[in-house]
Amino acid sequence: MNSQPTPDLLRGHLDLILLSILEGQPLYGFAIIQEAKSRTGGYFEFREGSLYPALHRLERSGLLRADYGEAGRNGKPRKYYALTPAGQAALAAKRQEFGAFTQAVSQLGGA
Amino acid sequence: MNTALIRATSALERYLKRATFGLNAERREAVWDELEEHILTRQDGYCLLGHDPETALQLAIRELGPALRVSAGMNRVHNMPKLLSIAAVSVLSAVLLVQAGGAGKPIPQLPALSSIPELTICVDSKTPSGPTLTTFQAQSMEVSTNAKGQMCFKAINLVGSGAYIGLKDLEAALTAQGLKASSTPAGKFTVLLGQQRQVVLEPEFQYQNQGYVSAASIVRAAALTNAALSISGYDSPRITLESATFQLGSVAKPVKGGQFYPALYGALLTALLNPDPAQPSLPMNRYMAGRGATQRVRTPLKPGEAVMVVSRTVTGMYLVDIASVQKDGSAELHTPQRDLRFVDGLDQLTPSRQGRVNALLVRVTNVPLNQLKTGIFLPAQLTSDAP
Repeated sequence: MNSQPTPDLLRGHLDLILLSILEGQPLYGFAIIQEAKSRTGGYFEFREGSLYPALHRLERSGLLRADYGEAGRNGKPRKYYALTPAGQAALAAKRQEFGAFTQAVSQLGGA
Repeated sequence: MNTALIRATSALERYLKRATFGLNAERREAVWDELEEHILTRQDGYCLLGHDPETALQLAIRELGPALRVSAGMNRVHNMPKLLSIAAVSVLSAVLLVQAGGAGKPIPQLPALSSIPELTICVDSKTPSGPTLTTFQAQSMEVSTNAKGQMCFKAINLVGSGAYIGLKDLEAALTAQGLKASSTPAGKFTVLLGQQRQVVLEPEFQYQNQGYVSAASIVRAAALTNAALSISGYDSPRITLESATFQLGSVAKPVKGGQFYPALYGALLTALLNPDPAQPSLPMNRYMAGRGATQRVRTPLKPGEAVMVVSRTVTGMYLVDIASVQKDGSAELHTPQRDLRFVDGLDQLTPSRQGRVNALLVRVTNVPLNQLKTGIFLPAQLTSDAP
């Protein structure tokens, strides 16, 4: 993929993107960035500083849960984020909403 | 450790100190570890690309972005009120000015009645005369006859101190700030907010040729529309609805917080527990005013803000009190329970039969009502033992 999403577009869909990445497996922050990059051919490049507040927000709202795994580079356990059942439901709802939106946009013409 | 490595390590520490600024000790350590791990992993990557460790660390830190942006993001999630008090007050003030119609434009002050006036309805055969009580809120009444032989009903012991706003005054304040507000001849008052949302108010009583509603009912009705809605100030409260702001009471006759906030307990609890306006409001039998022990709590909020304490009884009833933040940042809140432990999650608000009871502190002012949950904060002292 050549072009990249504008920051507004990325910010507007950050929850959907993060929940989608974590749907398959629990990951820690750095790995989430790598996963987003590799699965989209570099299309999604997060501003790394905004990733962690977003993860904490989703955790606080009950859509993600955190588990500690193996020791990281600083010798402390890595914090892994995983989808909760509420997160799974939110992901399904957000996908449906996004699908309806893109379909409506495409119906406006061109696509 | 060589000089370059010491320099790099101190740069990392400096960054992490700033990026975790404002968080409480426990959370700060967790966020510190998480960010440090990220930076060091990123640093390894740059080293593999051929950079020396010091340069690699600088690049890794740069990738994470400005420390204060990270700190602001984390504080917004974990400690919104504190963040606002230390960093964003000027932004917030600017927003309030804009919402009030731009800098320099005064905020309309709406005269408020502190109680329903003593009204007398005199009945002559079938026709009542004098002012009409649309919703009769008197606790009892006095019945007499007048000189004309009419039978008169006088409401006495009227519902206690409150803040009642004239709908004509409200209409003038809102329309002057660009909102579409109007009344029907029958007195029904409507504010059109766009996207087919409207705030609808029925006058609670008539007085001097205009209908009156309690100020709290304006907030309750607006909250049902999911409008941009917030309150500022404990005393002389200001309500911001979409692009309009108005103040309750005037300089000569100000509205005190105690006249306004108790009638909002239900609306604020509903906003906290169930912010979706499509869902029903919390029934009145699920909450009551907190009474009993006085908890003096030190908050990070600015003087004059309103702070709410919420706890639960063993039967699941919510207990609420709202107080003003004093000059020293403290607030005196009342709860039946003597010993409290402050928590920062609604799910932690579990009733307790013995020992400390969990309680929430919530910033009520300058927080969007439909995001009231972001006003939950932890004080520096996590427990409170009433004297």
